[in-house]
Formats: sequence, C-alpha cells, structure tokens
Amino acid sequence: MPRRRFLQHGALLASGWSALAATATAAAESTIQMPFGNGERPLVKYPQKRPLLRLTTRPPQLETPFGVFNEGVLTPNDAFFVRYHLSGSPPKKELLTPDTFRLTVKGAVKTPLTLSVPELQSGFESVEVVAVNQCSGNSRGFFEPRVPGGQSGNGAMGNARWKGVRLKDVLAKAGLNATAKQVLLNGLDRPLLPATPDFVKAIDVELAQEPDLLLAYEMNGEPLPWLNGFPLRLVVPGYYGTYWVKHLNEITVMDDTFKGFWMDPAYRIPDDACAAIEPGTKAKHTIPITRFNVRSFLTSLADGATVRRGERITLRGIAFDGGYGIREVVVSEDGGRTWRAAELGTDLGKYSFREWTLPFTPGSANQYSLRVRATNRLGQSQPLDPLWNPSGYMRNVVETVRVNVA
Amino acid sequence: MKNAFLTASLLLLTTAGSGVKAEDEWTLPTAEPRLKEGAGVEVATTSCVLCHSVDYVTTQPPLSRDQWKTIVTKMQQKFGAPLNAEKIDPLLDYLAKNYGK
Repeated sequence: MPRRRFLQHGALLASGWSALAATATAAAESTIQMPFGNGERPLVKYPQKRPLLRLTTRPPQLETPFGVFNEGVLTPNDAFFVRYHLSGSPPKKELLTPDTFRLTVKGAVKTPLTLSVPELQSGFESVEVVAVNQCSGNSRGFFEPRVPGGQSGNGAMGNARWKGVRLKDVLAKAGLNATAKQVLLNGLDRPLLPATPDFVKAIDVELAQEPDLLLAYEMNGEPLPWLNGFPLRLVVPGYYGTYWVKHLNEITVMDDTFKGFWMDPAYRIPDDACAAIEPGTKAKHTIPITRFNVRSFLTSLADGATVRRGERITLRGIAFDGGYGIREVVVSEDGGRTWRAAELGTDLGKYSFREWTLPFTPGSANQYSLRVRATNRLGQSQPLDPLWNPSGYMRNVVETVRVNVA
Repeated sequence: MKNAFLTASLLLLTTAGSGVKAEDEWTLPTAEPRLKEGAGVEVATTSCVLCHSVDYVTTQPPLSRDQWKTIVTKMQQKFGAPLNAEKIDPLLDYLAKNYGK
C-alpha cells in the first residue's frame, strides 16, 4: 500500500499539469511512506529541484522519488538526490560566484595553481562522461537488522552526463612530486564548530591519474545545480558518492596516507569478500569503501501494482555496476526459480545506468513475484538474499516487485 | 513552450501559495521539524540542534540506549558537540525513551 502511494506521486510528477499539483501538495506538506519502519518523508521543494523526499533539513539530504528512474536513463538535474554532511552546507552564493570561486592545487607539486572555473574551461581539454553517482548508504533503510545512519530508500542515486576537465590534466600542469602518494579533496562546505572534522576525502595518486576522473562544471548540459556542487565537483565514475566532493576548491597532494575522520573511521566497509559480515556483529578489519557493486531495478512497475491478465506489457528497468559495464540482465516471474534474459538498451558507457526491457504477459497466476538480476563483464552479480554490514553500505540484493493480476 | 508555460504557472502558484519567490535559487526552506516533548528534550534541543536539524534523530529506526550512546559519544568525541557528563545521561534517557526500541 505505501508503494502504491509512492507510484501515484511518480505518475503525478510525470506530466506537466500534474507537476503543478505535486508542487501544491508539497507546499501542503504531503508525505510519502517509505516501505520500512519510521519511513515517513515529506515531499519538499528546494531551489532548482522539483519536490523531493526530504530525509534531513539541515544540512539538507534529499532523495529522488523512485518513479523518476522510469522517466529515462539520465536522471534530471531537478530530481537528482542531495547529500551533505556539515552544518555549513550548502555554501553561500557569495563563495561560489565566478568572481570569488577559485580552485587551488597545492602540496607535493612543483607549481601550485589557483584557477577560476573559466580558466579551467579555457586552459584544459573538456570531456564528458555519463556516470552514476550513488550514496554509499543508498537503500540503508532496508537493512535488517536496521542500522543507524541516513535512512535512505533506493533513491540516493542518479545518472548524469558530466562535463569537465580531467583531474589528471590539472595535476600534470601542477606537476606531481615523485613522492606523491594521495590526493586530498576539499570543498567549501564547512562545519560550524572548530572541533568538527571538515569533509575531506583522499584518493590514491594512481586513481587520480585515471582519465575518467573529472573536475565537472556541467551536469546534463547545464551548470551544476547549487545543491549538487556548483560550480565544481569531483566526478569519480564507478565510485561511491562520498568521493565526489562538491564545491571543490582545494586539492592537496600528499606524500603520506591521509588519516582524516571521513576516511577513517567513516566510510569504511568490512575487509571481506562482498563487504559483508554476520548481521549484528562488528568487522575485525575495515577498508575505505570504493567501487559500486552490481545493482539492477525494475522501474516500470512498483511493488503492489496491478497488471491485466493476458495483456502483454513491457517490463523496464535499469542496471549498473562499478565501471566494468553490464553484460546481462535476467528477470524471473516466479520469485527466482526460472529466469529470462532481458534486452539491453543503448550503451551510454560503462559507468552509466543501462536500460533493460522484457515483454511480459501475465498468465493464470493471481500474483507474480518479479525479480531482476544483473551481471557485469567481470562476471560479478547480485546476491539473492541481502548481505549486511554495520554501516548499511553497498546494498545490492536482487530486488523483488510483487504485482497483482486483475 | 510547455516549459515556459510550466515555469510561469509554477511562479504564480508558489508566489500565491507561500509568498516565496519561485526564482529565488539561493534560499533554502527554513522550517525544521521538532522533537517529541518529554523530560530531557531541552538538552537535545540545545546540544544537538546547534549543528543539525532534529530529523537526524527522528528518522532513525528505533535504537537501543547503547546504540544511542554510541552515536552521542561520537558526536561528543569526534564532532565536538558541547556535551558534558551531566548532560549525557539525561540526553540518553530522553533518546531511549522517545526514540528507543
């Protein structure tokens, strides 16, 4: 039943007039019930955004209503999820305008740099990549046993066409010292208290040299929205959103390994295959979270939807992984006993959502349990039963959508 | 065409509805949710709300007192929340009673 209300909102958002209705109801504090306990979320309108599911107010964390993922393979900017960590977020306009905003590159480099966004645009080759950004804790609300943290449904993810300059080109211009080991990334979002650790992330120099990492200034052909990192953010295709530092204004090359709070103890996963441990236990060893695992979703039908007996419909959805590319998507109509291969849609690159479709004609059963499972080009797939870790990261169970036949 | 119409309609709707300009792209909604009333709520209100809205608390699944203690200790020791020993017990009592399992 909650999912049905959810679907109604998705349908509302799909058409122009109905979008007005959705805005009106958002002003009236309409809420959506996520399909887990204590999952009531208000739909709230934020700058440059359509009404989104609000998880927290200050700093803002907004989730994409799941119906949006059936609108297309690229997630519209106005529906893209928002996640901040610190009270001084998002940074004020005064810090972000072309007059004031500068990116500095310093530390273990031969020539420190200070660059405006126009200087980045004119001084380096611009490139594009279509890539999924997904929160480490996407789907945390579904963990059983439940774990503390941001209680996201499945909407803390999105797929966009990012345009920017290569991080490696900017680092090459500064000239890395031979001793360089890690690259620190810091944005203009700041804590209120001096004792609160600033949100700084680190990546190894080897990763920073990969050509797919961008300092992005555009998203789906427009400047980044304020709440998605305007005017500049790091894009680390295939990696969880924690590394995609927003309002990025400081790159520091280090000779050492960074030990800041947001690398350790935060954003770490059990150092086991599948990043999973026995539910309710603690990990013996942890490592920083890195790449996405494989996920896939049915987007054209919500849980609890009704389909007509004998009427052929097209099931549709999305699949993605940590940057190797999706090789196959299979769908089961009988809860996982038998599987059929879906047809894959246009390939927008190995970091993108990949659309899949499959014809489906409901037969004699009164209910179908539809499951979808993807495999990437490395042969990695999704578990039939959910895995667990204490931070609620990296959920990628084979999803199930139950539909009724009328 | 449709977009222009939609933008104009949205502008009308939001200005009529709330008095907030639809084109104001640099102002966030300010209204914040509130905690449940109860003994100790004032400690939570003064200590937690300094750095974050209370939906960081209210959207959690029911947590045990020990789980709340882990979180409050992290806030104090890692994030520098102004919580001394006298405040922590009343705060944990409040959280365990109102947002516990």
